[in-house]
Amino acid sequence: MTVEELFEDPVDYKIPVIEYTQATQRQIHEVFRLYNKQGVHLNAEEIRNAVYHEVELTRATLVAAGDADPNVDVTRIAPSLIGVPDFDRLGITLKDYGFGDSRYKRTKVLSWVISVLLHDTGDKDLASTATNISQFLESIQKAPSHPLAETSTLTRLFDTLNQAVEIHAAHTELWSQQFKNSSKGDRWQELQLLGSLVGITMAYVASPDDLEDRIEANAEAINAATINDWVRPSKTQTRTQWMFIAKVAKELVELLGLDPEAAAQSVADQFGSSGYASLQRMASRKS
Amino acid sequence: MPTAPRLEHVYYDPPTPVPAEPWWTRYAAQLVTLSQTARLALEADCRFILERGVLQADAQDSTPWPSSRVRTGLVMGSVQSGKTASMLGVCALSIDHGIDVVVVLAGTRLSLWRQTYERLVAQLDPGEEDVAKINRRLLCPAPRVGLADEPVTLSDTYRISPPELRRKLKRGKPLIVVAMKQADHLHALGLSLRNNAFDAVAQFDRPVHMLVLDDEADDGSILDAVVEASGAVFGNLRQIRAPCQSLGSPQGSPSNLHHHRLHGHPAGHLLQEGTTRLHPGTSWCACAPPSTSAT
Repeated sequence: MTVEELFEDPVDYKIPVIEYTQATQRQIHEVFRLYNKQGVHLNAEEIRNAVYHEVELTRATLVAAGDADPNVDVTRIAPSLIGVPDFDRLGITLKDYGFGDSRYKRTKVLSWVISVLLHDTGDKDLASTATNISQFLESIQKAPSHPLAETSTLTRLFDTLNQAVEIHAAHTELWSQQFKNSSKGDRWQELQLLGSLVGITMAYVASPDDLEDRIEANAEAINAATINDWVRPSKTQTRTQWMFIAKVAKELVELLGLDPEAAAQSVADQFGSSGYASLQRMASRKS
Repeated sequence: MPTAPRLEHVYYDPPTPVPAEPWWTRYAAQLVTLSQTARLALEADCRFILERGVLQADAQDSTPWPSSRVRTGLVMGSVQSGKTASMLGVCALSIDHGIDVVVVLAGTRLSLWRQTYERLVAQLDPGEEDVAKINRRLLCPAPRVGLADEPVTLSDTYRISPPELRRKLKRGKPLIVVAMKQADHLHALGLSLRNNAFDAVAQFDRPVHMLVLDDEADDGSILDAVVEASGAVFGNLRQIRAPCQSLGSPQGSPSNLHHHRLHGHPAGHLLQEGTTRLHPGTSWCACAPPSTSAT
């Protein structure tokens, strides 16, 4: 038998396919739970990509993070990204930051940034990272009129994120090595990246035209904060994680000479909601 | 008759004047071991090489660039004539005069590469690694990598952040690379430039200038190291020479990237009969007198 025959010729065995045409969310979860019992378990991102696949935000995040199949046409997966110039830079930068291209690590980071930036939990405490992202996607899934279900809003959101990540990565002078990675590594750790990226994104939304000037004027103060004030907590339980992210995001916006409350309002005006108040409430809550 | 200025500025803290040639000024301030005469000779050599060699294309010749977008120069100097000092001086002046990317090919062995890196950092790029220093250039390898004791992968060694490079080139801040003259290192640097730098360069609507400085570029100097490392002399020589040449080659690079190649040779170059050859297509040649290093 030749190699070509082995791989190209039709085979005489059948592959069983089960097609669910009418299934609730709960039933889909159950199917993935059953499949996940054996072999390599799906991680939270892989399950979320499947469960919320019909939400364009999920697919656009996947593509923008660089985790989608590069051979599939973007117009078929996430048409909202067509209007975002150079959106592929986002995934390249996240990879350069040390988040590999296996098992949706970059999608996880980007989803986390988006949910922290935009998910208003109302009076409820913020849940764990994965649950917070899922809750946010579920809120869009359940409300067809949600602003983030609109293509134009998504285009604006990913254009904003792309610009913010470009600025974040271009200004290496801001981030001390000990802030980027508290264990002497060279690559960014998640909590520090999240807090600083949310802060830069809020500042960019609030004041896009002069953000570069603000960074230049306050670079030394921000760099000093990354050395002296923003120390990653040794215990990274859910609440201490949120407290650290909230502190970095808030103080970074303040160091750039902007009012965080006003910046949060700008975010809400542009994208329909802001997660800033929920984040700060969680951080200031007495345990 | 000129009119008197009608606006008077009164400063409580007057702004620090920025020197016209900040890179040269910083470098010259580090040359404390040289006598005044030696410093003047070194500066004269460096300016001659820059103005008559590297920049001649842009300053004096109306049709300077061949279609290949490559100009190659040769600088010859006696042993201990201060070739490395001249090379760093040309680096400084080149940056001050608008060269965007400087690649220094340094050392065929780790110890020599590191020695040149440390000398370049100490003399060309001195000072604490603070905000102002990080903002004035993009140094590759980064200091935490170039001066690290732990082994680092080659892709990490020559990592260049595209957003940082885009921002710095836009603001006229240079990319400075110190690469080890070894096949794997040169391939890793070439890959990094293609993946991370060329897109950034292509976005400019002006020519971007890259200067590759190959100190000890003669075959004899390379052979010295190769012979020490291995018996397979001519195969290894080709392995080093090919990536050295490809770094300064326009093949696969954006059409607005202009390549300057500057080869440094010992004056005994012409005596290396049988193994050496002058670089074909050399556009200009300069000879440094033996007195430069006199202290």
